Amino acid sequence: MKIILLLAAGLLLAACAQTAPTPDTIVKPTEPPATHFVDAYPKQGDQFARVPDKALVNFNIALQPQSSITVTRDGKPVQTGALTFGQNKISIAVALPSDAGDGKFLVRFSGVKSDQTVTAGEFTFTVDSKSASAYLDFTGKSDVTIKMKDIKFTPALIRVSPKTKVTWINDDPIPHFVNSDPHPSHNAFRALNTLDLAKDAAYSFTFDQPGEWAYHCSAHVPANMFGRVIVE
Amino acid sequence: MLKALSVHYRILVLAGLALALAACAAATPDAAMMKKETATAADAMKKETPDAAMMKFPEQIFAAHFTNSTPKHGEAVNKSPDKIVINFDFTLNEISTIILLKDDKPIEAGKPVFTSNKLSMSANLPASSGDGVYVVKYKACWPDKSCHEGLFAFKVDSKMAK
Repeated sequence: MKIILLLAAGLLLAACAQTAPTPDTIVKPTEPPATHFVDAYPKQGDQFARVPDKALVNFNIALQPQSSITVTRDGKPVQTGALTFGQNKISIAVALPSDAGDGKFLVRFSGVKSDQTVTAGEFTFTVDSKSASAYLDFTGKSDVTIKMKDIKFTPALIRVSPKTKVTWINDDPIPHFVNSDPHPSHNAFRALNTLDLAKDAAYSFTFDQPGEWAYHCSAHVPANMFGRVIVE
Repeated sequence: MLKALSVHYRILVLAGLALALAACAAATPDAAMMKKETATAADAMKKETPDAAMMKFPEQIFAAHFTNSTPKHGEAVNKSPDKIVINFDFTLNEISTIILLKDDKPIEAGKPVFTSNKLSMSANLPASSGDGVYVVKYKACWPDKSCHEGLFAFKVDSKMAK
């Protein structure tokens, strides 16, 4: 009898442990997104050659000051900047130190809504400085051209020096865009955003700030029309 | 004696089980943390009396790239506007839509009208729309047909004109 009762107690406690998730287990990268979550930068699973300048989460509803973002690299806390709110308070972001180093980063976010309910989740990205060798080296050049052809940016991965003017030209018969990640909010690097570019249309942008900048064509995200610019 | 101890032991174990159950219930995360807020504006207003509904707006949902609207969210006007205009900072695809609800009931808005630069779309409001809380639900779409959903609300109250 004792054994049966003890076994029952053990089973009950085990079941209890499994059905009582902590807030950290609410939304994992592989699970459906948190309520009112729109997108994040970096996006889940992204790989960078340089530490991105920020971790950013966009929602479709106004957030309260108690919202938060914490970042760890390989399990250790990363010292971020203070939490900032974007326009209409629908986005939260923290600056990441450029010397945060290589490794796997975990970003945990918690958005507090006006009714004090919380929408929380997490995502991961990696930084591997060695992967910069895969980027075409245009450092020292003042002008670089990227073609938009066959639903691709060519070249898609480049390295340039500060003050380099990069020009995108649409060689396809269909419209393309140059939009900062993340899609669809496009607010990691707001200055890097175009309206639709028709055939033969060009768009130029001069990069000043060192770092790695991720962009894409909003008309062709499913076709993986992505590009990166490292400024160093 | 042994039998009495066994009974006491069983009582103790049962009490332990009850405590474990209580602890289990308490250990579930804060209900607020787990709350998946999916209630729509219409749901929120269902429990309100018509007068209360008149006073209360649903929370605004922002689509990515939404810039502003006319009327604005939360605005109260004394006569129903001819049209509702929504502005964006990206080039809209014409599959974008606007749905209008007045006091929780759909009203005919027809297909949205786009400006030539496709940064704005509008819906005409029937002239006899009358007083009430209007909820505007919209989908702003890209050329790849991916869409962002948004919502805002305004109130028409003809008594305000007096």
